[in-house]
Amino acid sequence: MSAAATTHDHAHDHAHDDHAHGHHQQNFVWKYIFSTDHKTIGMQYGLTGLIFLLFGFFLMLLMRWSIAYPGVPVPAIETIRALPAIGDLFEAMFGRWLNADGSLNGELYNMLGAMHGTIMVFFGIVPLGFAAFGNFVMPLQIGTIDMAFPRLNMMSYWFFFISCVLMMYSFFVGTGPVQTGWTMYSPLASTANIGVTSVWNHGHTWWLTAMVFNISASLLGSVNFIATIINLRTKGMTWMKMPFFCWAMFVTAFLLLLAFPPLEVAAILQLSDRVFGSSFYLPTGLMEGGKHLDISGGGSPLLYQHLFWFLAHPEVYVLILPAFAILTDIIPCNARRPLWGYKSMVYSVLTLGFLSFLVWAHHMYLTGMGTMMSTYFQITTVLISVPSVILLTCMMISLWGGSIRFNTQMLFASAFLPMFGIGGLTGLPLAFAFIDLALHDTYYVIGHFHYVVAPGTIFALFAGVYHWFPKITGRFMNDKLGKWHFWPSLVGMNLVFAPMFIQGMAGFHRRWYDGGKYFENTSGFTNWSTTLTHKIGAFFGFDIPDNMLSLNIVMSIGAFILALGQVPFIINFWFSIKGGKKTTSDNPWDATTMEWATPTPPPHGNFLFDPVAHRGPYEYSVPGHGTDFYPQWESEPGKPETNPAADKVLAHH
Amino acid sequence: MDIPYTVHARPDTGLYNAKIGIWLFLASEVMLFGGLFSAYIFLRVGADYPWPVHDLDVTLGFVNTVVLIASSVTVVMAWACLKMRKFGWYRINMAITVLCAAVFMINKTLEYKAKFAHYAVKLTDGTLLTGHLPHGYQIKFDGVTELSLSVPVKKSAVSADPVGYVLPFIEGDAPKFKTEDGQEITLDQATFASLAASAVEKAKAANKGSASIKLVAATPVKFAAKPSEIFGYTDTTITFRDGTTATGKLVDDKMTLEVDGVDARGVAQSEKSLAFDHRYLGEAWQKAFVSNRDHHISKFEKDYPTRDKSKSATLQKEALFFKLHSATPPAEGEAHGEKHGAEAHAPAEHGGGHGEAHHPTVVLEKKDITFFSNFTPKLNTYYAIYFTLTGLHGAHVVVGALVLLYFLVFDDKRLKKDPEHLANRVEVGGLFWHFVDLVWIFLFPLLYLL
Ligand code: HEM
Ligand SMILES: [Cu+2]
Repeated sequence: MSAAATTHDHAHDHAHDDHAHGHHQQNFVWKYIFSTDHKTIGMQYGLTGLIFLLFGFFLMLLMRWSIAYPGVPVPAIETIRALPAIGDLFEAMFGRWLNADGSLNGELYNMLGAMHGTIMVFFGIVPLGFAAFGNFVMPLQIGTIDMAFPRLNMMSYWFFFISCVLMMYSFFVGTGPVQTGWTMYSPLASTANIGVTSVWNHGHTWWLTAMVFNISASLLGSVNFIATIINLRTKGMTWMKMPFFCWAMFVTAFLLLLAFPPLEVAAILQLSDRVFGSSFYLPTGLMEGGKHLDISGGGSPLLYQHLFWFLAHPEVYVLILPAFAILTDIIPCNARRPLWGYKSMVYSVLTLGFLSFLVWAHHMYLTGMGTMMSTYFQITTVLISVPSVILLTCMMISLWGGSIRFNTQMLFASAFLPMFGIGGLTGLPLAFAFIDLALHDTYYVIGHFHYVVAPGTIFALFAGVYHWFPKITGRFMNDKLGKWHFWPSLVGMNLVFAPMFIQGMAGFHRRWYDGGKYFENTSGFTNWSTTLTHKIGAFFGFDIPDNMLSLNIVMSIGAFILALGQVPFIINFWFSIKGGKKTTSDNPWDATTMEWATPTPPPHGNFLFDPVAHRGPYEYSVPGHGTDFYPQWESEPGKPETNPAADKVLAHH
Repeated sequence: MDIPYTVHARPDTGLYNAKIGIWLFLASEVMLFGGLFSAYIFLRVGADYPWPVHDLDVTLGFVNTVVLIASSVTVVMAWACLKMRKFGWYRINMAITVLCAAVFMINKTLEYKAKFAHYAVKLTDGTLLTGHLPHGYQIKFDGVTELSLSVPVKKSAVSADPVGYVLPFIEGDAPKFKTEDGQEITLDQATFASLAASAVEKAKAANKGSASIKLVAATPVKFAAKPSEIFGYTDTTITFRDGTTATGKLVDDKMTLEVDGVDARGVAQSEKSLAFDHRYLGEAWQKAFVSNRDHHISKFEKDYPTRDKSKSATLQKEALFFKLHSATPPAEGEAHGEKHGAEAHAPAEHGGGHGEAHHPTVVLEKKDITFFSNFTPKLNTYYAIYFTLTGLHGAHVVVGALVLLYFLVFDDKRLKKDPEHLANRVEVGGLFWHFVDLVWIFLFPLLYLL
């Protein structure tokens, strides 16, 4: 019998105890709402993040409609408006901005675009990838009972929650939400609607206050992560025995810790421009509507961009590192092979973290900051792709010679590799100032980063959900539905994002609400991709015109397929909580890292014995070992771990 | 279930949790203030106006520096006393620390308050006049009888809200208004809401995007508002920030200013500054200005024969930023009292004393004013960054002091039961306190001296 089975028995005892002692603390509110337990907080972050991902996706669908069919009423708009409750909500948030015939206009499109970016990055991916997975898995993997500062951890979530409320509130205020992109460039952002009504009627004010809370939440979280990893690793869990997952989270936490404060500065200064009328980002002589603004001027829009990108470049690694973290658990586990090049990956991720602070101005080549600066940032940007490539390559090599289990999470994980590859490779040309001058602010850039974050990070996040679901709920997610989730997602993602490269190189600007229709005379030309589109359309009986604009239709169809693909996931997710197939072991994937040594679900305090890390985290298919995995916590092959955790047992009995 | 290493250090890292936590937190704080200091440098290097130098009261700043450094010493002593279990001394030192924080904040408040009451007015030729507004500054309208309001059918940025944006500026009591269908109403939240609702219904029926409402006042109304409180005005109309317009007659938009300084650094020929126009300060002050200017320039030439005059910000300021210390121009020859250093350069610190006239008063016409503000972030980027830096620093002082106060007052139980744990907490709080002190050590020279 394996150790896992033994611990499972403990789990039952334990559950029993919980019942018996249920009254002496922990009613529902304290257990699930104001909990200080890292797992509960992780789940809170996870659910919030998933909901926001879905919401952000919905914003994007509306945008894609306008791009493909500018000036055409949104389908079923009157039906949506007539829905009880939802109709009113829709009307208050979006409907009031629509044209009279129900089609989108530039104003609404800009709101959707800005909020899509903001929500996906700061309210979807970071909370889910870093805060949720990190919170739930990391303390388990290093074998500790909780985070170093549980109460700060709870505060972090509630700060985040406040920021969610404030951000959502901005949809309902007079001016509506911000319209100036997730990058919120001044002076446009600071002067939009300046002077009218009170500042509290401006979406911008609420965006900024929400961001200040969001940033504070991230700071609390990152302090906690780092302190926990440094000080709470269990016996035997030396730095180089620590799963790469924890390393990636460690570096991510440092990025958040050090890169977010400058964004906080950027937000505070912009808030000051908005609320106190200062001119940090407003140059002298700024006019709007033919009138000099009532400002002193003397500030600099470039200052904003520097402060913003000093955060926002590290931020893109905050988006991708949790994905790497998740994959380095899923790939070895399902390839039944050790992670290839663990050490070089660790050094790469540290290098990457360091370098990511030195490349920010590659987003600013076009600002005229000077060729010296451009050259410097060009060099650092090319340098940083080296560690990125090492990470990707190591994961690919880890597949070599494995006997791969293609369950859902592995499908997502293996799709991640080429998808991230495309995203990364298309970033390289952008690193060169002379190419970027042509491609900046085109759909090419949009294609580049969406390949890294959408079929990249988001696929990894899905993989993570399928992988750890059994640990959290004691039930599997359905594999069939999983595949129904995976394939449409893969097809949809590529249909949406691949044509962007073509359009981008043809000069399509990233913020056209009509997808380029206004420039039909110049943007409506043909090439092989448009002819192909036309022919494929004709094959299915559609008359798609043979020009560049028709790619918009392809992409929007892709988005629609992608949307359909999420339906099985949502069904799968909610139904499996109560109705999924039950796990029979605490370690259903035969994995080696320590989170699988806990009872299912892990109780408050996590482990029923004092875990010790006896070996590295990826001991799969060890020659001479009886099974094809050798968990970190087993002192001898197959020996059940019984040494009870003294203080925990005391506390619970 | 207890988290390990809350009190004692982990052997291999040599640290207890909170100590790691505070160092990490301080690292992020360094990035926060680092970002702000970078912004300061960026703004100063790129400034396209004379960067204010030596504008602040150095004495007050210096006192605050000493106070903060002293508190840093006492917080260490408090920690040491706690480690040695001398509880009485611990308490005394901790109390002194918190007291120092209070003194610091009081000084800060005084400094801020003086600035809020002090104004700078930029004239069309680039001259800046500094001084006080004895009567405030308001745009006055008279004879307003008609208000036109517009309420969009769907909620949007600009939507009439007369109760919030118009009524507060009526001088005296608001009269009754007559609606278009002849009804006489008192304008308040409820009546306007029902008025707006029925107008919106009508607009909807007529398929219009917004409803317009006309209100006629029973007796003519007078309005008085600060320019920042309304959206704009012409000689006959005034537009409020909710989009409501009123027609009437502009009676006064002149600004009465008690001038205590003429800053001609932005003017090509300083003696021709608009400030010395016969309507304003006039010839006698002009003479005083010129003699002060020439005095400083010749002194500079004597003292520093090799230096470039145009590159000395200090000289520019002394020669071209003329301080007025009396209600009438000084007699020839005594124009330049040999005041140097802080006191002479502290126009911002003149708080009260509007009563006695020791400054000349001018009545500025609106057409000559391009911009005005009190000494707040709005005035220029220097004051913007000054308030942001010192404001955030002040917030840190307050939070730090509250935490230390908490240890002193509410952690008595821990003091008796687990003094080692409390010592850890004091150490962590003390580290934070040192950081706050350190930030000030950078702030003081940057904002007050350089
Ligand atoms: C592998 C090496 C990479 C290189 C050389 C690279 C290079 C670049 C460059 C030069 C730009 C600026 C393009 C422009 O605005 O004109 C850019 C934009 C962007 N990149 Fe990357 N990138 C890389 C990887 C990544 C990764 C891993 C992510 C995210 C997970 C990412 C996310 C983004 C985002 C979000 C933007 C656009 C931001 C915006 O303007 O809204 N990149 N990239
Ligand atoms: Cu970047």
